[in-house]
Amino acid sequence: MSAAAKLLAAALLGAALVLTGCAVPAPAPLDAAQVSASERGVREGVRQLRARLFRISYSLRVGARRLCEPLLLPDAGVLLAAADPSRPSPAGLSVLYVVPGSPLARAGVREGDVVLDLDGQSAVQVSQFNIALPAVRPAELTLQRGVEHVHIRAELARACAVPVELSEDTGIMTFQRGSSVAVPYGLLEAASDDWLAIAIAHQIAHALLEFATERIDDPEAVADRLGLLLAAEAGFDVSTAPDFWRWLAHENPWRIARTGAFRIRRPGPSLETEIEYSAAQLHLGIARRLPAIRASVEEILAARSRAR
Amino acid sequence: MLPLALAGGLAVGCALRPAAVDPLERDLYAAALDLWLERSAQLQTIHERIRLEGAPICGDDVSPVLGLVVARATELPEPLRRVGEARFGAGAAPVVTAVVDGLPGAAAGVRVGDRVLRVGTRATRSSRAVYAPPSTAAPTLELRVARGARTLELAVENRPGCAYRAELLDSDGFNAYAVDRRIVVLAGMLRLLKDDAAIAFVMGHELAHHIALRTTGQRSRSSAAEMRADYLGVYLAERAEYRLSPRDFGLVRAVYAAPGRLSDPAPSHPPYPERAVRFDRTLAEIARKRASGEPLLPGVEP
Repeated sequence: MSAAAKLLAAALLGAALVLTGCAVPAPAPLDAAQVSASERGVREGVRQLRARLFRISYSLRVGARRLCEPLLLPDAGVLLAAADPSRPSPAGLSVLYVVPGSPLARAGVREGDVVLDLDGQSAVQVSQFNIALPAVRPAELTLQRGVEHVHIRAELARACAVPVELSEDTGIMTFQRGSSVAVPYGLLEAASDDWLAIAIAHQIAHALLEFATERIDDPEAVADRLGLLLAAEAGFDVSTAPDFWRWLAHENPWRIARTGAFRIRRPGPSLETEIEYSAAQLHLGIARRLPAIRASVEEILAARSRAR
Repeated sequence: MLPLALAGGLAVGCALRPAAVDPLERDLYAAALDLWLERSAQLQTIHERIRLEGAPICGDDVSPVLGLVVARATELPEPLRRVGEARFGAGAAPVVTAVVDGLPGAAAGVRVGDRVLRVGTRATRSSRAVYAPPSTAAPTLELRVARGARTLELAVENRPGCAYRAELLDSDGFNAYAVDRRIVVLAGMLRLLKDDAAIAFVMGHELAHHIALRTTGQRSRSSAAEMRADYLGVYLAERAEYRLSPRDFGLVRAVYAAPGRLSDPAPSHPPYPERAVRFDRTLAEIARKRASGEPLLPGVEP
């Protein structure tokens, strides 16, 4: 048997061992340091993803506050996590991200700081933090930075009081989840900052319209227009809004023509599941809505160039 | 008399003609169909190459690889069926939408637009006939196609490949699974992964599950089975000349969507960071084999 044939035979035997399963020894253990590094890399990726969404949401909600009145609340502009209980550091909230240019950023809060107390109340939980923010007077925070305590005092910006959160699915359209706007991971991966702002603003518009005193015959059309105004007010570029909605239509063609109330079943993420959507979740009838969206965009851009 | 009959016929025809479709709506559906066909072609091209180069690993569980991508209106997602019918007609014969370079269909002269009427001895009533032709020992198989007004008989070289077919599923989910004799890939996964190499790895992984199922006779959901599927999946993709790099371990990105999964992974899967490290190790093994001219055959996982 030639050397090459022997090699092939050995490889095939190896392959046969792999395929029969039972004869395969357990895979060699991994270097723990490599796995830790890989895990840290993934966690950092998660943090950056959440930070990006947080930054765009904050810019949109603070920038469009004039149009959201009176539905406004103070927003600290910091993304927080409960401090790691296994590490020997005081109980508090870790700052994962601070929106650049926000009042707390300008006042000196940095990533890695641990918030010890807010307005003298210690160990505030993450879920309580935004609720506890003072509405009228400046906020006072005590931070742990290394071994030092830092005191921060800053007047917070007011923002549209519609929470925006990351949704762990790979869909591509925002949706209402309770009282929050849910932004799916799939949209975050695919969309530019402007497209994200346009999609989120559309949902914020729906939230605002719930407070309307008059009956709205065509909520989608109204939310389209109001959403564009919100995004433009906050300084986002809405000129590509028609492209965004066309892209959504290409990716999800069941949104193109249907309007009104109906239910559609689509395959879910696994073999066993199917998902049912109601008309309210679907943002239907994109074909019917596009001409008005284009007209709104042109109007907004024209007003902007007149203003210059 | 005749002109009156004609006029009558015209009047009936006008009354029956359906209302014109809104041109914007028509354009949106056409573009949506284009996107679907593009993804379908991407998926089937990768699949045909992987199953061809995987033949030595699949042993006798093989079928001819035609290297054609086809479409049938009734097999399209429901919102696209009407525009699909307008483009491809309503017939049963699948229409060729792409021809994979260097594979037997291309060499035999099949063209985009051909309607596949017969593969070997079987009339084609679905795309299955094209993606999983019956096994044969003959060196060629006969393909009958309709091209315009003509019918052509083409002799296609019989090159065997792993006897499984790929299917694109219209769902936003990020998943792929091995079931029956199929590898089902969700459109959401193609949208997120984008690159051929990353998709090739996922398809190799699922094909590896099929191979393991066939050899052991049972579907294993263990951590070890998943690691072996990762390992074999890299080999199957690399054998088909999809050069992988560490960032192609797209599954790690799925963790971004569910941070809790880092510390609490699905029971049947090893933690994603571990899988990423093993993935890199397998790439290094393949690089060594390429450098030394060894055949790319999986050994016992290191």
